[in-house]
Amino acid sequence: MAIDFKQKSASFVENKTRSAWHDTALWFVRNKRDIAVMGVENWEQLRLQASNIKTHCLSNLDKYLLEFEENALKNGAIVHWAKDADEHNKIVGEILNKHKVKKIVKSKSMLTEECELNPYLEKNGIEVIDTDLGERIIQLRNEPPSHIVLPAIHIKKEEVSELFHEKWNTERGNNDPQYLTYQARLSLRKDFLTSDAALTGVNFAVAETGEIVVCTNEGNADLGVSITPVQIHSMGLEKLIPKRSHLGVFTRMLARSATGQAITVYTSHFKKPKPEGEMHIIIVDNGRSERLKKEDFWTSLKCIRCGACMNTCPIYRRSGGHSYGYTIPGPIGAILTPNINLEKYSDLPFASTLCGSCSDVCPVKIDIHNQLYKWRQVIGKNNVLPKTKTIAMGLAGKILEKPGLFKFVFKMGRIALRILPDFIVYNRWNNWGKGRKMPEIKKKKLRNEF
Amino acid sequence: MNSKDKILENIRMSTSNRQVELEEILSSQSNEMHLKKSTKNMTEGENSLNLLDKFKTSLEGVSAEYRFFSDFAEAKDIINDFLSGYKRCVNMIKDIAISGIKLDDLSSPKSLHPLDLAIIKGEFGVAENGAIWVDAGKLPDRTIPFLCENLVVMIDSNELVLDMHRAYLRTDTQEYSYGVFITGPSKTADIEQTLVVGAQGPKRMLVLCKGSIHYGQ
Repeated sequence: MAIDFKQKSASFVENKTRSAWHDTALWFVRNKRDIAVMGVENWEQLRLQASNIKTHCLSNLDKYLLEFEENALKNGAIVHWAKDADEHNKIVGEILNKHKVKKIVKSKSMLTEECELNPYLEKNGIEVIDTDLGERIIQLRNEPPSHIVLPAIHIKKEEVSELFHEKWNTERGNNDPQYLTYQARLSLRKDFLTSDAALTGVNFAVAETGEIVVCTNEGNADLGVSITPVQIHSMGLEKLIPKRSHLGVFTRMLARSATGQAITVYTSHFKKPKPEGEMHIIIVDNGRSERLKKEDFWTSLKCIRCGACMNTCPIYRRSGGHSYGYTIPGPIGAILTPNINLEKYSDLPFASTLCGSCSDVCPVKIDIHNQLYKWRQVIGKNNVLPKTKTIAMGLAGKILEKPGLFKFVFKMGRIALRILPDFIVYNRWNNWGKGRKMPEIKKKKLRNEF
Repeated sequence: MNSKDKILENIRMSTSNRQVELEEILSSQSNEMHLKKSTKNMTEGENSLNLLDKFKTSLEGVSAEYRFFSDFAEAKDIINDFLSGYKRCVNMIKDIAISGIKLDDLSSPKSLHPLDLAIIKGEFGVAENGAIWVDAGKLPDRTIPFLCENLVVMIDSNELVLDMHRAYLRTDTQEYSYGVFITGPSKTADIEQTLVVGAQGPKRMLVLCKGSIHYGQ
């Protein structure tokens, strides 16, 4: 089933107070990002450098992956390769079975969301606890994340309070985030103390040293990995960077772009397993090497998952992450998803005004809005456009081709706009009219000015 | 063909015509130019004073507390002042006369819980963001800095670098198994973007600065 963005966002948009609240909350994060970025004197140079490092790395990815593997093995880690989500999940399952693990603590990992690891493990009798507060909240609500950095940004504190009361019998009606966070801490402490393995995502993997770097704020990744004997790190193969010194560039940019912090509370470098412990690294492809082949779209692999493009996007802010129907929403999600399934996600590149703000804030300079535009062409050529769009676009194309016809149609349009009642535009058959307002007609024509 | 070979083969089909030389990038690196420029302009004294001021401002921004001390007796008083009435403590700094749990007796990292206080050493600080490099792999148990409710990290206030570029140059020569930049107590803003200090890790953090320059607070 193809994702219908308009339909999926309808309920979110209809609740005007909530939509406005969501919009404001994300704009607040965007503002914090701006302040943090302005504090760095050579930000634009950093962006260029980050983008170049990624270009270089992705252009020599085979070489760097092998270098990374070699060094990780030297460090005493165990390296696995997974061509797709199924293989990744199977590898995790096998590691856990080997150690008879019954319960695992996870820190935030969008990759495992992408691979749908949790349901796989649960089906195999393993209890999975997401330990990032936002992830824990959505796990308890049985929902996907709506943002990659702030997974529970769509949920109000009253709802969190109700949820915790229901699950953990916390004080009913206490909506204080401090209180609620503390209650989650108490519950999660028990989970840390009763788990046998930990899994984290990966922010950066350094080819030169074979170490992996995880950036978090809550301390959950470090606590989980340190307290359990088996640690697993799942990484998309694009997380690689060639040298350790490149971390200087990326750690300066990631948190500033994401939340406006100068750096995350914990920037953790996992290099060797703990004494008598086991360290596994799973390198996952799952369509990434295919994406690398696409001349117009391979640079999307540079993404460091900061979420800045979401926070700035006028469409994302007003529609909420769940409207995109994929783990990674927003502008970056809209250019990643057509790679996965062109038909299913053909609506997403159209959920944009092409304003370009996403490209402006992107720390690794991905031309997101250009790629959104290019995906529209691909979708059109492959005949996977929704019918309502093809008919209207075809008609518009014919009119725009002929200046005489254009003039005539617009003249008629001007008259029609004045005399026709609103329901011609705003009815249930005209999808275009939903969420749009017709322009006010001015007396003077722009064309007559020249 | 196994998955590794399949993945690499697929990658090689696309990478052959996209080459950007690493050297080119490295030589144009702003950090290196920036490094040269700023070290040239700094005289010794100014250098450390500026860094210290920056570092202090950064610590305030990340909700970390900080105090300066000149001898270890004073350090002990500062810690007792920071947290009174603690029961279980791990102290990794021998010079500070605070006795803690005997770590040899522990069967697993889980038996450290509950841990009211941990006192550990930081290698150096980063002025631009307040991060402190901790060689957590060297600790008798890696769990210590994350499981404790309150964390004290002692650093030498002369051991500061300006930014993350220099921080990585500094750690380049060190052999570590698990190293962490710790920047203040753990936090979250996952509930309605409200900042809450004390998420899954320490709820409070004190940076204990040892220094020839004595700053009161």
